[in-house]
This record gives sequence, C-alpha cells and structure tokens, in this order.
Amino acid sequence: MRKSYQADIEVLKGIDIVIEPGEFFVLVGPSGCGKSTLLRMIAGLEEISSGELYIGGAYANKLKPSQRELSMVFQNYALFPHMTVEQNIAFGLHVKKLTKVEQSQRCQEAAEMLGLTPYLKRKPRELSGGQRQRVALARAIVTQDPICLMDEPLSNLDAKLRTKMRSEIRQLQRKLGITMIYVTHDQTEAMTMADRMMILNQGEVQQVGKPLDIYNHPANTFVASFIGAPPMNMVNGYIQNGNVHLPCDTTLPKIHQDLAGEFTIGIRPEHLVRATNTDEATLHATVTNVEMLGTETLINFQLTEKLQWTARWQGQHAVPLGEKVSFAIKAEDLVFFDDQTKTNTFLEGAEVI
Amino acid sequence: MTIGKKIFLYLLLILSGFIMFFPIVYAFMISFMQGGEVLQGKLIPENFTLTNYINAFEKVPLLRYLINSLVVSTVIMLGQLLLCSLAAFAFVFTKFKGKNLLFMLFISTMMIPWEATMVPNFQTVQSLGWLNSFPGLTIPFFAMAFGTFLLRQQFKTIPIELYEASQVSGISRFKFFLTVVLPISKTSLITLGIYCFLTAWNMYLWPLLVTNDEKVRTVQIGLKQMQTQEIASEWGVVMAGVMLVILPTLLLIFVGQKRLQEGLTRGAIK
Repeated sequence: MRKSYQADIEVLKGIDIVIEPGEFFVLVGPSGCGKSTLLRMIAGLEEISSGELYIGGAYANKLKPSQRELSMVFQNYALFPHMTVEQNIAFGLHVKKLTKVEQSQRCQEAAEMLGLTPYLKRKPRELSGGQRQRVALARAIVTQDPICLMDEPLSNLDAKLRTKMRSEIRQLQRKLGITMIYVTHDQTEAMTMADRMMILNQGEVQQVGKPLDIYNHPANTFVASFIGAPPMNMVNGYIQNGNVHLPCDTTLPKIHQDLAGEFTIGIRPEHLVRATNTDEATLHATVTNVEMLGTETLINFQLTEKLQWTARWQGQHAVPLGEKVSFAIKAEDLVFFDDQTKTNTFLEGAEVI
Repeated sequence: MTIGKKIFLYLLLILSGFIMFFPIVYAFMISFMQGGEVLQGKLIPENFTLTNYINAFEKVPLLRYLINSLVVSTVIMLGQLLLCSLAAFAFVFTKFKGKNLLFMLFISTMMIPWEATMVPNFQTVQSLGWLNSFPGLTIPFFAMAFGTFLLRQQFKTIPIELYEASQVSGISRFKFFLTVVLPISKTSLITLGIYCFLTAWNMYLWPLLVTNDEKVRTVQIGLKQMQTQEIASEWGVVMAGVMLVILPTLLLIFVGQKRLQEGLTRGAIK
C-alpha cells in the first residue's frame, strides 16, 4: 500500500509515506498538528487538496469512503444510540451483500472476540465506556476490511482501562493481520503500540521510524521533547576543543573531538545517573523536587536559574530537597542538535524527512 | 417553602386556572341548556340532555366537517413532517455553497406574518385550480420554517461522526436519514407532529378563503356557519358543536403534553 501527499497548504505539508500491509502505523503529535485530518483524508471524509493517495496500489483520491475498503473507529465511538449492540455491529454489513446468516455469524464472531456476547441485546447507553469502545472495535473488525483507521479511540477511557485496551487492540491487530493506522496525541500509546510511527507537528512530518529508533535517535528537538516522559533534558551550550560547555558553569571534558560551535545539547533523564567518584564528566546541581514512584525516582534539579532538568533513577532514593547532587554523564548519551535548525547533528541521511 | 406559602400558591393557581378555563366550562354547560336558559344567565343547566348534540349533527353536516378537518390536519401534519425533516437534514448533514445564507433566508420567513402572504398564496392556489379541494387546503402548509428550524436544532445534536461512520460503511444518505436520524429524533418529530396537527385543526381563515363547498369544508368553518344559521337563538347547539370541535385538541394536549414540553424545550434550548 502506498499513499503520498503533497502540500495541503493549510494543515498538512508534503507528506510522503508508504504504509506496509499488516503494519501498525501510529500518527502522533500534539493537538492541531493535522494528524486527524490526515486520517480523515485517508478515510475519504476530507478532500485531498493536492497530491495522490494510493490504497493497495490503486489510485484512491476520488473514491468514496465506502469504496476504500476500510473501517474506522471514532474518538466518541459513533455508536447509534437507538440500536442494540448487535444492530450496531451489523450496521453496514448488508451493504456487503452478505446473506442474513453470514451477517449474524460474523457479528457473533466479532462479539465473541471482544467478549461482547452477553451484551448483544443491550443499547449503547447501558454499557460502560470500555464496553462501548469494544462495540466500536467490533463494528470495525466485523467488516473484515484490510485497513482499519482509528482516531484517538482510547482518549475517553480512564488510565487503567486505556492500558488494557491498548494491548487488546494490539493483539487483535496481530491476530487479524489488518493494516492499522492509529492516531493519538499520547506518546505512550504511540511507543507501546506502533510498529512504526510518524511524528507530526504543525502539519509537517518530524520523523518516521520504529519507536525505539525514534526514542534513541530523535531527529530534532521537537521529537526529543515530545517522545519520552519525562521529556529529554535540553540546554544550549557550546563545544570548544572537544570540551562541552554547559551554561551552568559545567564543563564536560573531552567528549567530542570533531565537533565545535553552538549546539542544543540533550540527554534523557535516565542517563543522568548518580555520580561515583571515578566518573569524569559530572554535573552538580541543587535538587528542587523529588517524586518517588516506587520502581523509580524522578529528581528535578535546577540546572540554571531558569531551567530545570529531570533525572530518573532506578529504585527509591530519598534525596533531601536543596541538597547538591552530582550527576554522571556519558559522552554517548548526549544528543547534539544544531543550534539553528534544531536537527540532530548525527542523524544526517538517517530516517529523517 | 412553608405550608402557608404553598397554600397561597395553590389557591392562586386554582383561581387563575378557573379564570382561564371558565369559557370552556361555560360553553360545556351551555351545550346542555335549552332555548331560553342561556339568556336567563344561568350557569348550570336544569337537566343534562344530549338534544343539542343531536341537533348539531342534524343542522349542519358536522360529521362531514369533522372528517374533513381530520383529513386536512393529518395530511398537513404528515406533509410538514416529511418536508421539514428532509429540509433540516439537508441543512445539517450536507455541504453546499451558501448553506447558511439559505438557512437565514429560510428562517427569516418566520418573521413575515402568514396573513401577509395570503393574497399571493390564494392567487397561486386559484390559478392551479385547487379551490375547493384538499390540495388547496393542505399543500400551502407543507413547508414551514418553524418545523425546519426545530428539527434542524434537533439534528444538530446528532454527532457528525454517526454520519461519517455510515459513510465509511457505505450507507447511503437517505438510508442514514431513515434508519438513524429519524429514530433518534423521535421525540422532536412527535412534538412537531402534535403542534402541526393542532395548528392545522384550528385553522380558520385559509379554509374560509379557499372553500365554499361543504364537501371539503373544515369544522371551524362549519361552526361559524352554524352560528350564522342559528342567529344566536340556539346557543346550545352552537356550543355543542364547539365542544365536539375542541375535543380532539384537548385530547391531544392531555395525551401529548409531556412529549410536547419535552420536545419543544429540547429542540429550542439545547
């Protein structure tokens, strides 16, 4: 499957991407970045201003939504309030020219897969949020279309249920082998579910790739701060004679020999470990807040007067507030972004667009 | 609320209710009175007989009129429901250029009193040769801005995702209208239906204009006719006719009151 866009001037700019069959592809970005618009363009609910969309190799710009052989799950589920669960699931099946028997058989299958069999005769308003979500899912899979589009399907659920549905959707997708295009603003969802993901900001593609690649090698400062919670720590600094100078009067010696000039320097919170005496590159700062989460501890500290960084330590550390703590930094954990373009200096030619 | 306040409030309500309802009660009483009793200023008839009612049916073809009214009102109700719901659907679920302007124009017709358009309407109906016919009585009332407005407000509460979901699954627009929009808007449709029926039933001026044949005359005209014929001598008969005419109205109000309130507020406020 291939789809490509060029410039929907207002909201989406020059998106060119191939989504493979059977792939779980996540579109992620802050609100208003155009990810839902992109999805709706794929669904045919929104017109494509320019560029071409191919579905399964066929030119699909002019196809009606129903001709594109895809199903869609909406954020508010879009269940028909006056129909029972069964009718909701089977709604639209008759268009596919199936016999009544086939219809009810498929309906049963889908309901069983999602554990909805006991609720088939109920109306949507008699169901809980998670069950409604499942009905919406069942309605999508019952059509057996090769592509399924999901527009923030989990955002109306509470945190616990969200985690559960996340893995359920993922398992379902694997089992059925459907191509999933999933829109979310939640980077955790994107990280945990995606085979590949695309990060959008203000209608522009920031980076496309496997979640871990993106996490480890963010293409620019936006991706670095958007992916990962807490986000990557960043600060403006410069490199001279291979020494990295941070604005907090800290110099990390002999880190990069072949770089020089101004950079935005980033480091993931988990890479700021507690310094032991032998570490060369260290950072001293005053602790301003400590959050103990059980398995890990988040430590906020004042890097400069205006800038706070966060470190993530494994285990439980009762660090007193106001104490000076030393953090060790390894050269390979630092990420350098060009001061002007904000792009990752070491990612030239990699999967960047 | 203290008990005293409550008593006061209820007394006030009963009193105003009585004042409001007095004409109807009085008419009801008169409908049982014989000849001179009305002129004597009596409030309660000496004996309750149905003679007036029987007379009412005999003096004018009241049954015929009642049936005519029923047909006219029902047809107007159905026609209005059909056209208004289709128009409202178009205003909510389809995209076309100048939609809002058109809707404004449509709504602005609510500000023109119906009487102002009566002459051109009459001429149209006349040139179509619809005088003294059911089409002439009903068709001019099919497209109503109020009904369209009420239903549009209701349809707008239907999430657009429902429409998109049916588009994705390949349901046609009309099928969506039939199987989703109409069932969801049941309450509003019933409200509008009752409202239309009552307005049509109570219509006087238009039927008077376009009919002069008792075959299609409605019951309101029949009443007037009865009054003129009787020349105020037999008020009892006239009032018996009145009672028969307002009966369906009252019934509808009592049966549909809850729905009527529900629907009117739902459509307008939300």
